[in-house]
Amino acid sequence: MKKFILGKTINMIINLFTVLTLTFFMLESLPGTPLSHLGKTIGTQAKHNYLEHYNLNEPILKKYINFTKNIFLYRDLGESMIYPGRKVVDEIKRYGSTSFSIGIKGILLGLVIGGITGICSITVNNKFIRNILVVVSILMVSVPSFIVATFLYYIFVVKLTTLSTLTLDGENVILPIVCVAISTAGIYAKYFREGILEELHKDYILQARAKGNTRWTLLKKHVLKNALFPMIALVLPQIAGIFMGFYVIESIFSVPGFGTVYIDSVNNRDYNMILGSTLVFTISYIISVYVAELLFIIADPRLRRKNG
Amino acid sequence: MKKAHKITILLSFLIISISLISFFNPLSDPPEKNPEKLSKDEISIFFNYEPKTLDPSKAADDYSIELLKNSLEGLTRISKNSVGEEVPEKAGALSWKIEDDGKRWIFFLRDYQWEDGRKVTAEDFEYGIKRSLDPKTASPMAYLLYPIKNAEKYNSGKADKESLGVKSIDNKTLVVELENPTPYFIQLTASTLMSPQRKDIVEKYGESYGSSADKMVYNGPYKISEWNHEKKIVLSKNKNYWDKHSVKLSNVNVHIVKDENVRMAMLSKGQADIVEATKKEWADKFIKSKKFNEISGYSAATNFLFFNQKSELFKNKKIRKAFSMGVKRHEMAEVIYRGIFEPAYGWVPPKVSIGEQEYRKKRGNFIKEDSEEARELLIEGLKELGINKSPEDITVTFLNPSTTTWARKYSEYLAQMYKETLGINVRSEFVQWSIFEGEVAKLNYDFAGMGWYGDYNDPSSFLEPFVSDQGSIVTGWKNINYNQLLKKTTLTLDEEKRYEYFKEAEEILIDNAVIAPTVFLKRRIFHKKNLKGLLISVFSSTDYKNVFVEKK
Repeated sequence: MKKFILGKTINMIINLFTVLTLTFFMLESLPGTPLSHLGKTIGTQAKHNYLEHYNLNEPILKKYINFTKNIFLYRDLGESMIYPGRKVVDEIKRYGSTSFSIGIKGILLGLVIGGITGICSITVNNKFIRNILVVVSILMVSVPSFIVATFLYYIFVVKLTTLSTLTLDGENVILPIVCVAISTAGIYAKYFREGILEELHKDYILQARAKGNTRWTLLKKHVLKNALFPMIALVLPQIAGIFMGFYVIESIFSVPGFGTVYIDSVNNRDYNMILGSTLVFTISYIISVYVAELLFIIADPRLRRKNG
Repeated sequence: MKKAHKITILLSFLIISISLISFFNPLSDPPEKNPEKLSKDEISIFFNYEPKTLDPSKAADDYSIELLKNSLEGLTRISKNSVGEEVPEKAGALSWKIEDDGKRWIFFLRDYQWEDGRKVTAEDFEYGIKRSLDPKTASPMAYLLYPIKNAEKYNSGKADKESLGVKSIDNKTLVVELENPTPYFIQLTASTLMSPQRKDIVEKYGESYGSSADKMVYNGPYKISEWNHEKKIVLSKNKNYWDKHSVKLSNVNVHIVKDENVRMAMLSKGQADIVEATKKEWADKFIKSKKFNEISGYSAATNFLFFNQKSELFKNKKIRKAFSMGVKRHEMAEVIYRGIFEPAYGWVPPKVSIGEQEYRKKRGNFIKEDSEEARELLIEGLKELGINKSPEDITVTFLNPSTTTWARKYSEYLAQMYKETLGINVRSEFVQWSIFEGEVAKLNYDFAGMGWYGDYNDPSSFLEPFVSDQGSIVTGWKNINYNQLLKKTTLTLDEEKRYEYFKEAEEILIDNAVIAPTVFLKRRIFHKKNLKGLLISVFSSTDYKNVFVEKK
């Protein structure tokens, strides 16, 4: 176990470092400066002063050393280059919490919808309804989220102009949440269904059945616990992916979330914001994958033995 | 049977989504957004994006500047005179006198206060101006203040602070010395760069000065009482403003809404008071509803094409001229800009004036447009270059600084237009602005298009960018005569002479086909009928100082 954790931690650090270094050099190879956000051309002197102020005139290697030093030694992500005086950390907190609140609500709602659809598609007695539920979940998987988002946007924003469903002042986020829910529910339903079906075909079920358990008690007592286990692996990275994963939905509904801001920062060459966001996103992603693996090992004795 | 399946599936899908939405709906209508509950002395407006900063020295985007112009009182405020011309009006300055042939301006300040009760002093102005020009502040707009003595040198780190031509003689007297008798200098006194700034506040907040509503101090008609980033800004009446009796509104609520459809829907539902319509359909709808008044006017901006004079084809003057002559400006304004913009047969746009006289009106239109002649010129030009191909076999690349669907439409139109008039093939490259800027600076393009917005009300704001090595619009063009003419316009206060210099300079610019102006930009703003006193400025920002809501 100790060996496993140590190995994973080293792995994490290497991953993080690689991602940051790659991002840094890819950014450097892009043309343009943070001044581009002005959308107009300004004189040479103003440009020079501006670049000097943010230490962008220095050679690339020195910039890289400064950057890694600031992050790893001083734990400082610096300031936005587009919004003078705003700390990257504060910006990330704000945008991140917007994305997080939409994403987590959407995923929870998605889990509920997916769970109900998935379980009902097995347990409901009426074959017709079961089939409908299967098709609905397939639809939810296969229709891309941007289609759902555009569809809802068109109906509620363009045609009905029901403003109460819009993101006025960023407080109202119903449509994006529903979109996230629909786009995730399908996969959840599929996993639920397949997990349960797989379990149902195992030998111990046959024995339990022979003991005279009803279908429902079977599900409740034996199957669900085992079948839901793979969901951890599915949901955890998705929670980390909240920050970036729903960018399309965010941008269709103009939600000032992590994804939108990240893309804006890339377009505006706000180097500090990009690198800071990448760092936060990478860490949260790596950690959630790591936690998922840990949970697996704790729950499954076979894996535990294998990893020492 | 299968069809029935599909329909039930679709229906259930719809029912699920709709029921979910209606389930959430009641939670989502906070009471304060109900328009009826807004008291009559409040208005709601939109910003299309988040303002960048409240630091007057660093503010460069329209919305930051708009906020500052409504919350700071500099030496002057832009207002409209009886004939609708925009003129700087005395504000923080009670009076001023001009000495030394226009090279020395002495401002006598009004006795007025900051919102926290401290008096506004000449030192605040001196500090503010010096801070804007300090290379360490790195203001992107500092170049606007270069007419001030030694400003350019100081901003480039070649002169020290003390040599700068700005000095406060006592608490209430500010002296500004200029490099040359710059006739438009009075326009600059209204800019945020020349706003007074409080040394104690700047030093207290350091880098974060102006990054939120409370990290800033105000002395204008409104103060910014709330800035919920990316969501909402509230301007509320400043109780310590010297002219507070003219300010009728208690609050101006600014909603930051990026989505155009949402903005338009909110206006038509009465949840906002002012909106700018960028699409003709919306404008038509608003006119039809008869609930709104329209303010339409020029934006003091021109869209234009420009040519890389170091490129193989466009180094030839005749070819450049052909490309200018081959533009169908009327059709372009109608088709691409849907009749909102106006065809441009000159470079300096309407509303730009020298003193009291509007330049464009006096000069008139003079750019020639003729597809026959254009094609002949092109063929002649090709011959001069020794290219023995017909235009149909030549392809030039147009660099488009946008990647939107609209940009693609524009490029398609442009290609079709040049195919008709010149017979030449135009291929487009779509890039983001940041890339565009770099490619243009490196002269790595054939021809490109963009818009130029005037910073202040004088033709030089449009003609100055083409002075050699100015670095704003890089075309590789150099003309000593042109540079001298522009220099001359800063040396005299005689409006007639200046007009002649500008006229000649504009002619050189067009005759050499450095650029091909296409349209003059206009904007259409709609506001509720009972809203009065709104000042939409061409050069400055929208001013809410005198706005009031008429009671029915």
